[in-house]
Amino acid sequence: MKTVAIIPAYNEERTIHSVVRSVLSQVDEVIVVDDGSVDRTVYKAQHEQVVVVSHPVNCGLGASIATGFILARERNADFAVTIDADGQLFASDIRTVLTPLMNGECDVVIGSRFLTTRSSIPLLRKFYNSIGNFVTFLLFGIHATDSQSGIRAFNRSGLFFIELRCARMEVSSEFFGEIKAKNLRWREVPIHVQYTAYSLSKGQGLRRGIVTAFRLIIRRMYRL
Amino acid sequence: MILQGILSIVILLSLWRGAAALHKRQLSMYVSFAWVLLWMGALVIVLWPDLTSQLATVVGIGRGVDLVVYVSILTIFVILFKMLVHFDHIDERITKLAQHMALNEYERKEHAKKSSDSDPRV
Repeated sequence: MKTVAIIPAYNEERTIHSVVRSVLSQVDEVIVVDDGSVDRTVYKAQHEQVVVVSHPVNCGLGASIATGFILARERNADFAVTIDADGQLFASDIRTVLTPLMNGECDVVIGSRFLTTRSSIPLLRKFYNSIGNFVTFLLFGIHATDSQSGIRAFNRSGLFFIELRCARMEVSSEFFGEIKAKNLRWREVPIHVQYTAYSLSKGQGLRRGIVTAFRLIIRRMYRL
Repeated sequence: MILQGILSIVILLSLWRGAAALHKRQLSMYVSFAWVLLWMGALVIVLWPDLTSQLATVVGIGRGVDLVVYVSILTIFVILFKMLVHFDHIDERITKLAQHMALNEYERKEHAKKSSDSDPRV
């Protein structure tokens, strides 16, 4: 059973090396999708067991994950995990999200920061996430506790049936639209998170959140 | 009267710009037609302002200037929305192109790596 981790990265030279190292200990192969970084992300991501693919221009999180999906399919992955490159998540949680898939319980697993009992999530982040959850529910009818999660896992059904069209941050909610449209089995599992000044600066702020919600609604209304 | 003259010149210049863009094929027939229609309408309103009051009475709005403001805002919103959708389509096409280029480059490198691995001279 081949397990592949997809790491979308945009200007992550500060964290990509340690993230790749820690993720490599959990999976068979790592695919780093460099999303047109202008720093040394590509150089820092290089490793024997790492496949690095670079977008010539910055396209967005959704496009990077979609590129990672194509490559994971080409490389015959049985399971794929997407994990953020900002060092906010723990590589050890990869096992947590993979276990239900390996047991054949579902097709997609979303790691939720809000299912853990002790949570250090800043209040503002909780607020943004609750708006994201509400918009996801409004548009796709799925209630998730962490619709904007940075760690997700897929078995072959998830990997082959999910078709991503949203190029930017909207992809986090689009996953739920695809889960519903393709009738995939899904579940959330608790994961851990550590917030640093760096990861907070990388996250989705209020302005970007509003733009993301607006784009999602427009796309949903006009089936773009 | 002076304002009418200035506005008429601005409108005629805009019409001329539209015609020039069409001539150079910078704008499509559809966009050019909409452009001409918009500025012709503006010219009519500038030259015969009372016309707006008559139209406003017909549609049940008090003053002619209010009607012009309402229609203008609505038109701007429609144009903005159309542009947003258009930009989204362009964005999508650029993304597809970037993904295609990235995967092609990856395959080219993989192919080169395999060739050098199997080449006994290397």
